[in-house]
Amino acid sequence: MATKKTMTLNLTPEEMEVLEGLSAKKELSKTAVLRMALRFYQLIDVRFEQGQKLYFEDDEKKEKAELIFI
Amino acid sequence: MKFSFPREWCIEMAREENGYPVSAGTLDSISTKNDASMSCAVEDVDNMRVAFGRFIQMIRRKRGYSHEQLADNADVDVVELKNIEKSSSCFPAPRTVYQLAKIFNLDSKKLLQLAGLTKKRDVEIENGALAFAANSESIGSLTPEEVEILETFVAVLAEKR
Amino acid sequence: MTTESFPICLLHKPTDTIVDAVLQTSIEEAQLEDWRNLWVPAREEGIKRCVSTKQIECIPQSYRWKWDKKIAYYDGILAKRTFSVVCNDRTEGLMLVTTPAFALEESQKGKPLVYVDFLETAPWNINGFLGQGEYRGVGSVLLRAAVLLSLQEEYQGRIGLQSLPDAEAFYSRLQMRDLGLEHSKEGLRYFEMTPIEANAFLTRGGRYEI
Repeated sequence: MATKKTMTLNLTPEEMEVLEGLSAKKELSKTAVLRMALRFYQLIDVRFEQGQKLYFEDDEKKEKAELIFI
Repeated sequence: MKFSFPREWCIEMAREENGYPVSAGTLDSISTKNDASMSCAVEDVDNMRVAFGRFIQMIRRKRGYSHEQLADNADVDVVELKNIEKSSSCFPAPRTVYQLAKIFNLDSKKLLQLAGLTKKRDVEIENGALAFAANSESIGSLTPEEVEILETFVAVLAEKR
Repeated sequence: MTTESFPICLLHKPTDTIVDAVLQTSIEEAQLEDWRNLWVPAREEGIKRCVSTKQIECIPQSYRWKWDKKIAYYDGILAKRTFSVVCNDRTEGLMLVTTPAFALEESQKGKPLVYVDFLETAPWNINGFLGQGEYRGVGSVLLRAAVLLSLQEEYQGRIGLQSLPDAEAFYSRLQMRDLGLEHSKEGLRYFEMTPIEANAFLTRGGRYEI
């Protein structure tokens, strides 16, 4: 794999708590969680720029809520 | 981390794989949606499958069967029946086509041809299938026009020679 | 993404010999050219032959896949990764995966996995389509790459995929968990490999190193 670069990340205690929670839940290191988040964010961003939309669908109520990015 | 592929592992797996299909993936709406560049051979196979799927769906609805009722009565797998109607990537098993022909009182050879399972090319069926596929929608209840198209096509398929 | 190549070997069925090949961590323009210039004509030839000999069931169910479109659609997307198998400068297999997707299997639910979007071997390698098939082992090598990627990403070897109906036997034999038909709108069976099965697959029950 390509050489990796290291950076320092500043997070608030709340953000760090969420990151640690996800890290435990998904059995991933914090780096892996952030890498995963970046991939999702990029995918959503690219598709959004192409004019596509992202929805959350409630299976029981059959309701769709559009996720809006500005 | 390095990816490693031990030589003996590759050989053992290759022998077990034995050339049988290994494809994974879905029907792939991304690469084929509104795609006019599909070849004639692929299109022929597609058109036949779509016409067959729509035909089975329409004739089932006309007779008032649910998927489950038809599967039960014709003694076919309900999942396969649904797949046929959706024209998903599967080809129907010849037995399923025979069973469906029997229950709808159609000529099984002609229905097999419509399903793409026989070599014999019958221009009448092919033209009928194309007209049928072009003029029918797969959802909602049957309109009078759809009933007419369906009945014309059923007549072609029902005629036993 | 930098492309790396790893040595593998395949079984050349007509001569029953083992040949060296490579697993490449990308699908390059050269692979797409092979797909256009070699795979597509071979597939056409096979389809025509199957239609004329009444053996429609021998047409691979991936008969309408278009790799050039898939690759273009996912160009530059970090969550998508591609792999290919190349032997004697000819492309023998292609794979597109997503990292991450999430496990559905009860004991692993919600944990990340590598989802195999598409995996396909060249038409001339399929037994019963264009003869008995040339190279064996392409599918296994690509699947191993997916499991190794899963380990590298810290997903513990978990992978998931939807098998085309005629390939179900292959994935069942690898002891992948068959989660049935309800996870696909297209009537395809969804299979998952948990960390335990992934380890058994890579080491063949502890006989090989990962």
